[in-house]
This record gives sequence, C-alpha cells and structure tokens, in this order.
Amino acid sequence: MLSSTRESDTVEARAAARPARARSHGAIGLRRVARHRGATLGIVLVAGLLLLSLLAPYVSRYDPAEPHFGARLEPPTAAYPLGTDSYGRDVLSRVAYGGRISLVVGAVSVVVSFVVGLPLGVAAGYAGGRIDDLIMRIIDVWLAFPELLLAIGIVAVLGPGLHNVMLAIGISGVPGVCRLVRGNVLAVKEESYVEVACAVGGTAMHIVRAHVLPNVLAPVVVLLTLRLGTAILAGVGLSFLGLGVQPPAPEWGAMVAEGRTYLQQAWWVSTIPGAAIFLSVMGFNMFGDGLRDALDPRLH
Amino acid sequence: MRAWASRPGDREDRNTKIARRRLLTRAAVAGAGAAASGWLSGLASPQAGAAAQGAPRRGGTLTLVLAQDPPSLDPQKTPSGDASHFLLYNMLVSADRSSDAFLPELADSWAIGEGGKVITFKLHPGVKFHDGTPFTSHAVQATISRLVDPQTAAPGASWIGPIDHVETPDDVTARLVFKQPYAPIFSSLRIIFLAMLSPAAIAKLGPNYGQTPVGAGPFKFRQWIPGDRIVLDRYADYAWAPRFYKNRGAPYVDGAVVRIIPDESTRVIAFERGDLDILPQAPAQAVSRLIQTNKYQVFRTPTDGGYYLGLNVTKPIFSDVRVRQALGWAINRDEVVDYALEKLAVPMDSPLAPTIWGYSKGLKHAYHHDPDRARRLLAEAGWKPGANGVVQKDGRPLAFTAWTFPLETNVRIGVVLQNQLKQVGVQMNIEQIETATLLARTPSGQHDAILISYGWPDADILYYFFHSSRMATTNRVHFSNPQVDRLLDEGRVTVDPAKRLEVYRELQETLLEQAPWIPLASPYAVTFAQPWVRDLYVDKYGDLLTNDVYIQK
Repeated sequence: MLSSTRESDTVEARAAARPARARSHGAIGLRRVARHRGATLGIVLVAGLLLLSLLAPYVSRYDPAEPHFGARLEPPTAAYPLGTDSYGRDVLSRVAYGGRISLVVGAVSVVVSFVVGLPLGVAAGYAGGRIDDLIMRIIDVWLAFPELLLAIGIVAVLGPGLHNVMLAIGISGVPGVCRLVRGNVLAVKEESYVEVACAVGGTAMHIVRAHVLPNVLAPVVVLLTLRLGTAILAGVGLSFLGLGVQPPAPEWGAMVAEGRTYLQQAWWVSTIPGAAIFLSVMGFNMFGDGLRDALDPRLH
Repeated sequence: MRAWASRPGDREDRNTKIARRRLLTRAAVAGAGAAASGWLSGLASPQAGAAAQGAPRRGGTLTLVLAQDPPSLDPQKTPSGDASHFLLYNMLVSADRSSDAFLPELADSWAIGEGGKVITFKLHPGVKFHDGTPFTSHAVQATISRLVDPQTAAPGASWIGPIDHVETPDDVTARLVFKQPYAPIFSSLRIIFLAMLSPAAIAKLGPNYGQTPVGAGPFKFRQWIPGDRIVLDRYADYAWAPRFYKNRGAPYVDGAVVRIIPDESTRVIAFERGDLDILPQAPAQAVSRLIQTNKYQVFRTPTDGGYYLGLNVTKPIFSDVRVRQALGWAINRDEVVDYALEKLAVPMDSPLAPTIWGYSKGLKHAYHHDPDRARRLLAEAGWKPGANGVVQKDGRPLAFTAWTFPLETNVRIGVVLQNQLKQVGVQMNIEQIETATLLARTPSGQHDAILISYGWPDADILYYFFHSSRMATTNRVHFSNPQVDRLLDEGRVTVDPAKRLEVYRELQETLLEQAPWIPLASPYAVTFAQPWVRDLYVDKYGDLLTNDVYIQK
C-alpha cells in the first residue's frame, strides 16, 4: 500500500494547492481508485466479465442449453474453444451466459441487502433507544446464522430458482449492511453540523436525507462492492448444491458440479467455470479493496 | 401397520438400495472378466467369472468387504442383511440363479394348500447347525416364533406376513399356516430375516444370539472385531448348497474374512492393493477407471428398481391420457442410459424393472422412441404449435415442472428428458428439492411430476404406488383406476406364482396404457473381483454366490 499512500499524498497536495471546491470528493476518489493497482486489475476483471456476459450471443454460436450428444466431452478445439461438457454443450457459450446469471444474482441480491439494510441501520442509529435495541437484537440473531446456511434455509423454504436465490442471498446480507450503516450514523449524528441542523429546526427526515445519508454512503458503497463478490460466490455455491438456478440454465456453480465426475477425463468442464468464478470474485474484491483505500479518509 | 409397509418407496440413494438388495439370495449374472464391449452390451444372460482351469483348489481365504459393521449377526436383529449373514446362514428356499423359479435350500419341496393359507415344507434331511444340533421342523417353528415374538422386536418380522402358526407333524415336515393367503411369501422366505436358527442356540444364547451366531450356512463364526473384521471358518459338514452350485458341499476356501472399511476411496485402494478379493458395489467415480485397467473381473448387475417420470394425473395437463402417452413415446430411453447413466443401466419398458419378480417381457403397450407418434397424440388431444416451439391449447403452453432430488444422476436424467420432450413441443422444467421435503409434499398433489427412483424385489411394490387407497401416502401420481385396484388386490392374494405372474402382466399392460408413470431405466451395480478369484457368481441383485469359489494365485 506504500505506493498508493504516496500517490494519495500527491493527490492531497494538489487538491490542497487549488481552491477546495475545484474537485469534488467523488472525482478525487475515482482518480485514487484509478491509480490503485489492485483496483485497476479489479476493474479490468469486472469489465471483462461484463463484456463477456453482454456479448454472450456473439461470443459463441451455440445454444448454451441444447445438448449435442454427438459431441460429448470434446477437448478445446477451434470449433469449441473451451471444449464441451458431458451433454455436448459448448463450455464457452455456457460460461458466457453463466456470467449473466452470476452478475444478476450478485447485483440484485446486493440491492436487496441495501434496500432492507439501509433503512434499518439508519432507523437504529438515528432513533437510538428502544428502537435501536429492538432492531439490533433482531440483527444479532440474524447474524448468528452463517450467511450461506441462512441462504440455504431460505431457499429450502421458498423453493429453488433464480428469484429465490437472489432473495435468500440478499436477505442473508442485510445484517452486515445494517450494522455498518448504524455505526456510521451514530458517528455522524454527533457531528456539529447535525447538531446545527437540529438546532435550526430541521425535521428528522430532512436531517437524515441531507446530512446523515451522504456522509454514511461511502463505506456502504465499499461494502456493497465487496459483497458483490461474496454474493456471486454464494449464488454459485447454492447452484453447486442444486438449490440455485435449475438445469439446463448455464450456471457456473452447476457447471462445476456437473463436470466434477469427469475431472479425470475432461478437466475443462469443471475447471473453466471454476476459473470464471475465481476471477470474477477476485475482480470484485480487488475493486472493492481499492475503493475502500480511496474512499476511507483514515487511510490517507 | 406392518413394520416394512413404510419401507417400500422411492429412494434417494444407492446405499439404501444396496442394503435392501443384499437381503436376497438370487441369481443371474453379468459379464465377468469380460471386455468392455461385453459389459456394455445390455442385459447379459447369466455368466460366470473367471472360468475353472482344471480342478478347483482347496485352501486360501476369501476376503470380502463391508462399509460398516452389521448391526448384528443375528438375522432377527438386523434391518438388512449383508455378506457376513449370507456366509453364516441358510434359508428354506433360494431363488434360481438364472430364472424366477424358487429352488430348494433347507427345504427339499413344498406344497401349497387351502387356497394359499397353508404351505407344507419337506425339509432336507441330515442338515446340522454349526453347534452340531440337527435341523428339524422344530427349528423352523422356533425360528418363526422368535421372529414374530414382539419381545424379539425383529426389524424383519413383518416379512413373514399374516402367519398364524407353524405345525410340526414330524421332524422333516413343517407346515406354515397363515391367517390369509400371503402371495409374496416365497420372495420373503429366501431373505435373510427368514434364516433358520438353531433352537438349542436360541435357548442358550437368547438375545445374545448375534454375538456367537449359529447357522447352517457354509461358514461358521470364529471372531468379530468391531470396526475391523469378521472372521469365519469353513464349515466342513456343509453339504446342502442350492442346486445351481457345482459345489454342493463345503467351500473350497479355508475361511472367509469380512473387512469393515467405511471410507469409499479406502475400500477401492485396498482392493487395488490386492488386500480385498472382491469389491462389491464399487463407487461410481471408480467404476470406469477400474474397468479401464483391464486387470479385474467385472460383474455388472442390474438392480431391482429404476428411475421413472411420475405424472400427477390430477393436474389438468396430465388428466388427458393421450398427453401422458405422448410423453412415453417422446422419450428415448437409450439416450437416458447412454448419456445420463453412462451405459451402466438397462432401459425399462415396464413400471417394473426386469429384475423384479413379476416383470413381464414383451408387453404390448411398451413404449419406444417414436416422436412422430407423440406429436400425433398431442395434436389429437388438441395441442397446437405455439410460441417458442412449445405446443399450446387455449393459449396455455404444455409446460410442467418435474421435482427431483438434488442428486447428480437424477439431474442428468432430467436434462436428457428436457431435451427429448422439447423435440415434441413439451417444456419440462426441473426443480431440485431435498429428499424429505419432496416426499413430504407429494401427497398433497402440488407437483406436476416427479423424477425419482425406487427399488423393491417383488411386484407387490406396485400396490404402494398405484392403489387408490395409497393416495395420501405413496401413490405420488394420485392415480385411481378400478381395474388397477382390482389387479393389485388380486396380486396380493394369488399365491400360485404362475397365476400371480399373469395378474401382474395384465396390470403392467394397464399401467403402461394409462401411463401414470413413464418408466426410464434400471441402473446397474458394478462388482469387481481379483483375477485369482475363480468361479465367482454375482447374482442379479449384486449378491455374491461364493460356494464354487476357489483361489488360484
């Protein structure tokens, strides 16, 4: 992190040399992220994943779900750049379409965590007292369940499938968001500008919107970015167990599960979706780390 | 409720099937020491293992393996039988190795009387238990009395059916008297729960029978080190092996050791090291690798059950029999066998797997792959081509969701079916649901279809799946048909095997025509044996028939 500190110093120095308003916090943050090596790699990986998913129909000419029993377990060749699986389906095309599923699972479940966790956290932190106690005790119980176990439980009740998986992972991510928001709200609440806003007669709603929220969002954004990776991993985990997206949908976790029987004769069936999982989760984690380094004032 | 009435049913894992299959002594074998082409080529006729070269050699030890200690070596204290029990005990009858006939074992002959309520057995004279006491009709009486005694709490007690009492007119005549005729009795009599016990040992050992077991089988008990091994000695006086054996007398080997190795991979490694002579029910991952080594004898044995697609006939789309039949014609069972079961299965053309007692060959209504016929039937039923290649009627697409267990094989079969049904315009979705949940939810009939497997040695299993009285429990397709009910009831009380077969033939025809089930495939179990194990037979249930075996290293 040495280099990033040094870079940040220069940024700080330059920012100080100019009028304070010339550059917004956001712009400074983005430049910091761009200069952060890990974050850059993260962005590249994430961008690659996005491109692969968006361009899936152009990446491969094969239907990702249609078996071709005449071409089972074909090794990577010109016709099948990443080989075929035990049903003769093109692995490249399945990995590409699988990216869409994983991205959607990640994004939607993170939004679910955010939409449920943010109001709870703000309410607990800002209102304090009994409301805080009540919400936080519930969150404590919630946290006592390991995330994946909770997700498995929810899917077991709701039934398998894409929607329920996103809901389950989203719900299991709520406590983290809630606690982080509450902690930051508690800190921000004591700031003098909040006191002032209170003194001039601002309503709670107004203070939260205008003063509290903007100041707690940065760490939440970082957490959500990091959670994207975790959520994708949870999604493929559930599908690996057969609880997630149902066949013949090209889901990475399901692909790994399906190919592991053939690992000795056809390594590509499991390994390639496995690598896709690894790279995308790493991408989101590195991006999130860089974002945190850039946005967290304590690190500068 | 009889103890085993809850047991027939769908099963989720191979192990339970194996446990149950091991209850049986019966016959027929698959390609042994054969080339890969041989063992892949469908249901084999009975074959032996490595053939005899000259005279069998005396001596040596036969080393077998179990995944866990038997719960007890007392056949009336164990919920399932395994290799150790079969080496120790004999039953009254056994089943032929290559046909559905029942053969004499400890009984020489039998007669059925009073409409099936009385069965009289003439016992084999001169049989002695391992403790030296003679086997007589009193042993039959003592064994069965102990089996049904509530104090024994025998897990297999209900297999004897509605027995009333056993009469012993003389030493070699035993008469089983039933309250009602009980047709599956012969299927029951050859399983380990009906193993004959020594009355002297029962009196002496009481509930501890299993600690120093006494039987009339080819090996006698020496030692049991729990978690490690069971050691058995050759029973030199043995001379009553069933007649399908060349060797009707004492085994050629000096003894048998049954090793206990819980871990699957460890069992495979022990076999490859040569520590085990026989590896039964090899784990799926190891099968193709072991075959490819070309070093071992391979016994591919069909199992007494199979996979099926069960259609909930109360759902509007499946209430029309033509739609159900169309599904039957749309499915290519060979693809299911080849691509979902890695050729370790046979296609099923009846709700009964070919190894189940009561299965009929050449059924008129059997389905084969005929997609055009499927399309015609759908058109007749009013389903017209619609969006995305899925046929529709009144604006509703012909789509359904099949529930299955989250198990690799189930899902693989599902994906293959999905593709085949798509060819005729039917959209099948798969939903993997945890075993207990699936079984608990089907009685309420929320499901469209189920894709699962079952296993049972006797055609009586159909009663549980299709009788209207079982609607709230195991009749998971919610099927109700007076003719089927009548045939199922008749099959239960028709004791004469030939007549009973006819009843079940008619029943299978009706079930195929009505198509509440689309039968798919019956999987194989694969047993490996070392090349030095000579004259081993593996019967069609995967049980080892060892009396001809000798070791030639």
